[in-house]
Amino acid sequence: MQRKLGADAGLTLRMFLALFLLAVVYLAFIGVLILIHAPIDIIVVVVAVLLIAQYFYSDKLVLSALHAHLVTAQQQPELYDIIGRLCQITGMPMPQVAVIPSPVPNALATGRNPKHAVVAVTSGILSQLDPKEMEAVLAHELSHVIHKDVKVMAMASFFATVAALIVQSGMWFGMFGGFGGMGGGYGGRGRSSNEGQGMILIILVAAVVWAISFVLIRSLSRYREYAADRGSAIITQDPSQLASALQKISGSITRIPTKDLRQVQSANALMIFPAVHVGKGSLAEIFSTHPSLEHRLARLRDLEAQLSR
Amino acid sequence: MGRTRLPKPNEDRVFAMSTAVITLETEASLQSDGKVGIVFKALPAGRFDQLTRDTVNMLQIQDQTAPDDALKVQEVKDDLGFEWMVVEGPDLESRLAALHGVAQGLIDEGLGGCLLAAVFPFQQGQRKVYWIYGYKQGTFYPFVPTGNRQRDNAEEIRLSAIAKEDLPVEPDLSSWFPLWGVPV
Repeated sequence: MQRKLGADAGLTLRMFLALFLLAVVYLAFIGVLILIHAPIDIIVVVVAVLLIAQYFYSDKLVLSALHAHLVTAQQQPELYDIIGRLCQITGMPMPQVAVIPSPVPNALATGRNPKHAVVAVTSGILSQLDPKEMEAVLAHELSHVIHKDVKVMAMASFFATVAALIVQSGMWFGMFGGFGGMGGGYGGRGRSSNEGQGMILIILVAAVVWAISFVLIRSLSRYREYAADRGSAIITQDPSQLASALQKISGSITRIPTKDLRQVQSANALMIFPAVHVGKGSLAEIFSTHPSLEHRLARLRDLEAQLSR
Repeated sequence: MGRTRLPKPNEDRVFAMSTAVITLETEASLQSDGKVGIVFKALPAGRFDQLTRDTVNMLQIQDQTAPDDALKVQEVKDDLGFEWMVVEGPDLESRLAALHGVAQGLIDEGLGGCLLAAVFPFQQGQRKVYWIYGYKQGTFYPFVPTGNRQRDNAEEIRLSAIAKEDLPVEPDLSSWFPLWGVPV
């Protein structure tokens, strides 16, 4: 699917690095658990079942959570036109199309693979963007499906979820049964203080794994967003449309203004300074699932420069 | 003439346009319109006419070639009451020199704050495209009006990507203020 834009080696490398580090953390986690004979089989099975269910039903889950309702081609002809064209370009089958009744501009695509995909847009985004910008946003969302991001992120989060559940259930059991020397608790049997200490160790290890993998998973999520932006640029050959869409829906602080320069100048003598927001190098970005708008726009601008040369 | 003139970065950066026009033409199909407009705010009374006279004098001194190549200077007042000087002529270098003369003159007098923007109009096929140079920040940004107080954001972003090697483009999108009904 590479059209005129070469592969982004740096981005691919970073994604593999994040996945590799996650694998290392998880293997260490499993190693420690095995070493201390932790009885966590049940939790692993439960999580596996949950994640498999989520994997298979993600589309339905997301739709019902967002109150989206499926629409037909008669109801949304323009939307179907755009998605149809994108499917022709990408060779994807036509997904289900839904509209979310919300004024907040947003769009998403979910589904474990292109054959079971759903694209949902809010009424807000339909009113704010013009057709080419809408196409760029939908190309970004479809790229997530093509890249099988649901599967990748589910697998990446698997052991993090196990770790999180251990910590949470451990706290819960800890509260009820105590960590040693008292009756009741895990398995319904009394606990000796040795087992109690083992329990605390498991919870601590799980907490550390959870914390590290949290940061890694967030990084991975951001790289996949860049990859989807890139996917959109490759599909539409027009990264500036996506950039334009992003600045429109991101809020008034970052968007291209409509207020006349002459009116701005008369209103106040001082030049307008940029408001505080998550920009380059911000600490908040490390914990965010999406890169900052500035970073995304800068990358899209580079892609545009590459395409025009 | 005996006075030390320190470089004024905000005013000098407008000269980047002389190299940028080539890139803009080849990669964005922008044809220069042969004009540049400068918009001022709140010049002291009579200063504007003086400015025009000074510029005309300066250009006549500069321009040794045939009268047909001479630059024309016009005064325009826009709908919002702001004063514009429009310099027209075949040669971008001379237009930029005129711009520099005007700006430098005002800055020397301590009236640099009256300089609002310089506007470079272009033709892109059937529509007009503007590159606006803001004197306060010393940066350029594109402006593509599509009629009815709308602008083509996607094209503006595309132009900024194309020009980023040649021009100091304003990085903050929220500072790309339009000039509706610009008389250039």
